[in-house]
Amino acid sequence: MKKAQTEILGLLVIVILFIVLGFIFLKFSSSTKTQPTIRQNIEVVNLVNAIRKFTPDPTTRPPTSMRDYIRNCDSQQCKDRITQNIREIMNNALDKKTTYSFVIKKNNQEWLSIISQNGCAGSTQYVYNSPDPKYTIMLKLCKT
Amino acid sequence: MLQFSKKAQVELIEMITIMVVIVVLLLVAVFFYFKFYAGTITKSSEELNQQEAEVLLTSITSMPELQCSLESENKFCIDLYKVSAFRGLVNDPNDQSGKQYYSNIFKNKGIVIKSIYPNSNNGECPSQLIEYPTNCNTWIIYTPGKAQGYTKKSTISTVVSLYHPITKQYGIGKIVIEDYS
Repeated sequence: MKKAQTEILGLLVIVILFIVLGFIFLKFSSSTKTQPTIRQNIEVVNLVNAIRKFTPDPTTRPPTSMRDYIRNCDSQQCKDRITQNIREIMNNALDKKTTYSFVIKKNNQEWLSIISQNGCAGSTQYVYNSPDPKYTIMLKLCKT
Repeated sequence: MLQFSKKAQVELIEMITIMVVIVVLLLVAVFFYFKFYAGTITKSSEELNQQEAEVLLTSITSMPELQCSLESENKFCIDLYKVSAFRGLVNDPNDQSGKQYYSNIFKNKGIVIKSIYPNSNNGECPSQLIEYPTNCNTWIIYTPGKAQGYTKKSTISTVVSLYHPITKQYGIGKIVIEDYS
């Protein structure tokens, strides 16, 4: 092979290398993923706010909100009702891949803990503390 | 008569071959680059559409046409009576002005409100709601005109509080944004 041919082949190899490197650079430079965190946070805040407004017993007049129901609850019967409502709401609101842990604290002590049947493992999506003078709601969603 | 040496002819052919190879390589590179670029543009467009849907999802809950309020104070929930009235305004067959006005805001997004708890039967709710609905669970607020011709559809949703102003009862629902792109 002549010297000129060898040099042209070398040049070709360099050109091909540049093209390949260019593609790799373009691929990585445009793969900045949008962070879905804000959306997930809004999702959890909306869910807790909707639960707090929910009317567990529509027969009472005026209807009581879940917020007041939790605040005034001091018997096992109303605790069971809250648990049942929360479970049903979560089952309807969340997709099957999302599990949850819903904890209510009164006076800084765990008063009620509702965890989905499969537990709440996997990557945590968001934890929301709903402030109230008498209790705190902590909702944690986990993606399996 | 003009004569070329054999060596010069061979070198010329070699040069032309190399040039052809380089041009073909460049064309292949340009082709793949533009293909990649077009893919990126499509992806960006889909992301933009998704973001638009998310902005719409967030803003719908605070639209005065749907949001419930008590003595001018916003309550961060959806008023089911307003929903019925709004649906009537947008889908009035005798007056298209409502649909035209909101098509500038909703564009190619369909909007549906679904009650998820207390559990209700599936089905679209009537215009008049005397009690909190138990025999229906869906309000189709807006469907873009061109929706029938499109198959690709993505949906996003968020949980909202649904308020029935007559019974003063709060339920739990979802606002669903359907993207017809």
